[in-house]
Amino acid sequence: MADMSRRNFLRSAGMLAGSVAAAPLVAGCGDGGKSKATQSGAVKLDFWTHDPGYVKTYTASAKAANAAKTYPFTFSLGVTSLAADAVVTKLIAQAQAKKGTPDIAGLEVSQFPRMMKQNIAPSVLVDWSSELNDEQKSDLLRLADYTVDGKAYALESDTCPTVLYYRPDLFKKYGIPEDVGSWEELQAAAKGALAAGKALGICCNGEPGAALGTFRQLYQQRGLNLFDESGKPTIDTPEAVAVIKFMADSLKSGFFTMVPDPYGAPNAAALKSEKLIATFMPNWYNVYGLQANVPKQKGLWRVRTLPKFSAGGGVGAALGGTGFAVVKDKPNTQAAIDLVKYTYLTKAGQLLRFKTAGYLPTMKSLYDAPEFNTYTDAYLGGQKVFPIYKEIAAQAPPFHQSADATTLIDALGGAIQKAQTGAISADQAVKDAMAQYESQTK
Amino acid sequence: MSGTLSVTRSAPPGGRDPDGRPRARRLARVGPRIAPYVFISPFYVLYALFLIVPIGVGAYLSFTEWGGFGSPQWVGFANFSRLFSDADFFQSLRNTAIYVALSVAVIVPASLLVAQALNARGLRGRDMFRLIYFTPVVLSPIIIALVFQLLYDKNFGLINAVLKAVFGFGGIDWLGSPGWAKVSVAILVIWRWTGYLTIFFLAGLQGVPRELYEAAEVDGAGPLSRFWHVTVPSLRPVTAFVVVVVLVGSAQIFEEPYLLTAGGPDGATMSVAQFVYRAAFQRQEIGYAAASGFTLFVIVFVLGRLANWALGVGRSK
Amino acid sequence: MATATRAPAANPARSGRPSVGRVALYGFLVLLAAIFILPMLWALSASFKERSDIFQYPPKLLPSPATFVNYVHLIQQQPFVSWFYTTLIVAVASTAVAVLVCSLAGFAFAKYRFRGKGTLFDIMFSSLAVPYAVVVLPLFVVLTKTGLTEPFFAMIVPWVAPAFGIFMMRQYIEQTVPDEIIEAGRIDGCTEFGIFLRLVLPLLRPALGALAVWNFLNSYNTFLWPLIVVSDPHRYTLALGLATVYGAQSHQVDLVLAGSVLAAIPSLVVFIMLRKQLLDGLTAGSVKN
Repeated sequence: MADMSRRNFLRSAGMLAGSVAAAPLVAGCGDGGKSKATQSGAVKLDFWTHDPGYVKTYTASAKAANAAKTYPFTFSLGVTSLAADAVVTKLIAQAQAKKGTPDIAGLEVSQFPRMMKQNIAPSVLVDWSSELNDEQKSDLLRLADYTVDGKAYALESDTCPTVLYYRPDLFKKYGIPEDVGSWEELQAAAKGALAAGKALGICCNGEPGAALGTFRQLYQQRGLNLFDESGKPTIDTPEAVAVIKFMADSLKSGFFTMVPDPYGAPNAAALKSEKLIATFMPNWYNVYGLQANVPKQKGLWRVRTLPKFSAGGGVGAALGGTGFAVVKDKPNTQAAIDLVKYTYLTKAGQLLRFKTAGYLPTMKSLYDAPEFNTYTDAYLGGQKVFPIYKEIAAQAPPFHQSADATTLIDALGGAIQKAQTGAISADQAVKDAMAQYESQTK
Repeated sequence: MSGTLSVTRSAPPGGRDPDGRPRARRLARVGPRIAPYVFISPFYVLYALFLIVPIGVGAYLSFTEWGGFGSPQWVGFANFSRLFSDADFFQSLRNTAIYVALSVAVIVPASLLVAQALNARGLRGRDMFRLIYFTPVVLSPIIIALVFQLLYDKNFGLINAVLKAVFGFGGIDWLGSPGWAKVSVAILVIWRWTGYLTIFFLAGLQGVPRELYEAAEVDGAGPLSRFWHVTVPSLRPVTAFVVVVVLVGSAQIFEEPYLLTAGGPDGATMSVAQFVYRAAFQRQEIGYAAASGFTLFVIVFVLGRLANWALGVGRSK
Repeated sequence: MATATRAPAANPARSGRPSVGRVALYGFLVLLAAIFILPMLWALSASFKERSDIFQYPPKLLPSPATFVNYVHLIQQQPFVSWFYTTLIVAVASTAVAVLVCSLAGFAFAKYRFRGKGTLFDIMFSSLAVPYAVVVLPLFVVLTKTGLTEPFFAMIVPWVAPAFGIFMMRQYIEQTVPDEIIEAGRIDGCTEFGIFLRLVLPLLRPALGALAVWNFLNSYNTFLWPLIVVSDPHRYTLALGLATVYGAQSHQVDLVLAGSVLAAIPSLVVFIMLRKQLLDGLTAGSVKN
């Protein structure tokens, strides 16, 4: 055991400790200095996103903005595609390196809390609250999702209202009325379908975020969300217990079925085999969930507002989204701000987004505009969907963020995974989640 | 060929003037004293620059709070005291211990067994088998996860369907129940790595001189006894090597549980490496990640040394 | 093929009809082969299916209708060919250097006595235990500070000296290279490097093959590091490129399947090419003399 000797070990440890001298490498970044800002003319904006839909949108938007000649710039894009988490990982790494940052980055909403750690967002991103007037602020939906200390660092790109997708043909077959008002009525009406092994929703046992998706959508119906404006958790409530209990009971009765997540193979199989005759997910699930996996069920699906809980609440809920942020103090910052403004703060831009990739307007005032209101969805059998979306978007409670959102999502998601299989009670799940969260945050 | 490079040392010096030597001859001067240092220097230079320095930085970061941007804030031992009260961390430690134990106790003997089978005399299609057994490691982990999620699915999975057809029950919640989820990850790990490790044993087996077997056979030893008395001792070095590699590798296991179950349900399959990853890249708590990574490092280091000592792998001559 | 000729016929006294043991052996090997290759076959088959048929239930083994559309889309919509080249360049270059660095250092550790050997070995060995996720960020910071972020440099150079490789080579050399060879080399007037190059290296073929395969696979599959150091999507590695395609909101499983099938080919080719190295070098028998 020659090399196990204490002396050798200490020597190796000493070498290791010596290298701690390298630590200053990390600290104290030299200021790169502000480069001269581009005032006008041709600009190529570095654009990072995880979603090909946004590439399409912004390409079209740049073209339209150039044609409209409202701005002193001629926009073009240099696109970098990355996974949603990679956008933030890389953005922070490049910001620390003081080079290679994008001009515009699409920050997926569940990744945004990472930008809230140690003031990263205020140090790196343009503050939109100084770019927007009061009218715009009150008209924009979901500004709260990207707000830190009263300042907004990204503009949300989709409203993501949650709807109940359902199969009218199969509802008819099992004698379920399409217009029941409450979850409880729907459960009662679905007895025949349940006996035939059908399910009307999903709970997820994959990653905590997926497990939480079901909860969050239902919880918002009760008018609540994960955090209050000051970033404190708002999950220790009787409503949260009731929703978790509802999920566990629904799984037990077969009203909901368990899948790892709403996108993977098992869920696709459940859709394809017509085990799932209804499921509640946001508007984008139409394209990314249903059309991607069951294109042959075109025309068979419809959407409606979620049934309410008889204990109270409404139909408002939302899930997902991506906020577009501009990196500040770069030569192209002003140009990037202008392009994002065109895309989200003008009717032309909002319409273009919808037509190019199906993103819903993020301005309340546009839901009554005829260009949107008359739209019919071919996959949903020509249904007029905007009146439904409008009702939901108006009711969805604001989603406030916290730098510790991921910790809460993991804690609550994990506890819900236990509770939905009956391993612990709903009440206990909320208690466990809060205890876990508090032990891990200051 | 051999004349050009290998001049002098033992041969008497030729009539040439000593300073007019070509470069190759100067190299030739490097004697057994200096040679080892020259031989290991490329490694240690690279190692110092690209590993020791980052490790030092990482060690420093473990005493700070840092989100990856700006200057780290010194917090002393705060990360460590938080770590040792973090139930998730202990759960991930326990899970990792299970993966390590299973890997060493199952994968090592399994790959030896497979290697033994592949080494059978006069086996036809040996090349084909070897190639097939190797395929799991070349398939993209994303796809592996996709396939195994399908296989394991409670309602639609092939495994439950087969169980139902053969044994009449098949309601196992492979990925959903905390206990089974660990088993599922373990099966995936075994599936992915057994064939690859077989190669090492096979190489070892082919190095065992045939005469040893023949001598044992003459002495009347049966196949089992030959395996035990000839194969196992001959494979001791290669076994020790594989054990250390599997030990160190499985202690850092990340991809399999991360992609198959995302560490769930409720952290039931999360490994320490995933815990580190989660802190660094999902929660942006890089100081905390460094502290947990450093703790993992210490544990693996100690385990490695213990294994080393027990098996005599790293013993210096 | 080559292996079949080498193996002597089974004990002639017992030959004749296949024994129960033989049948069991083949049964075992075939069953195992099925288990190992099934997911690969599934991926192969699914890569020729339309997106909506990939998860059909109950699953069908053969694609009907079969389509190349995933491959076409992958190559048209993504810089897949660039990813492929980048990956090959990185994997081949880092493997070539790693094999040399590791065998040299492994040789020194196995066959020389020198001051500080124990400590140096300890340091090397302990780095086996360093968690990858911890090194990645500090390393990036260091490279940025020193201006060494050129993608190919950053993807190759920091990883050409894997401790695993040295450990492996040392083990192997210690076990299989007799001291007498080295002594004989010295008596013949070989330089130390000459001994390594001409006497030792040829004996290391199996280990070199195993190390090359290991390093190639490792380099081939890394994802986190390229993500952080590479900005230009054309310089992505395959693993990173496919993760990006998969991470897009819609999980483009169809493209990822096609990409994974194509990506598996070089690793298989490397394995097939090196398999002789991996195994047959040892059986020549020269080692034990």
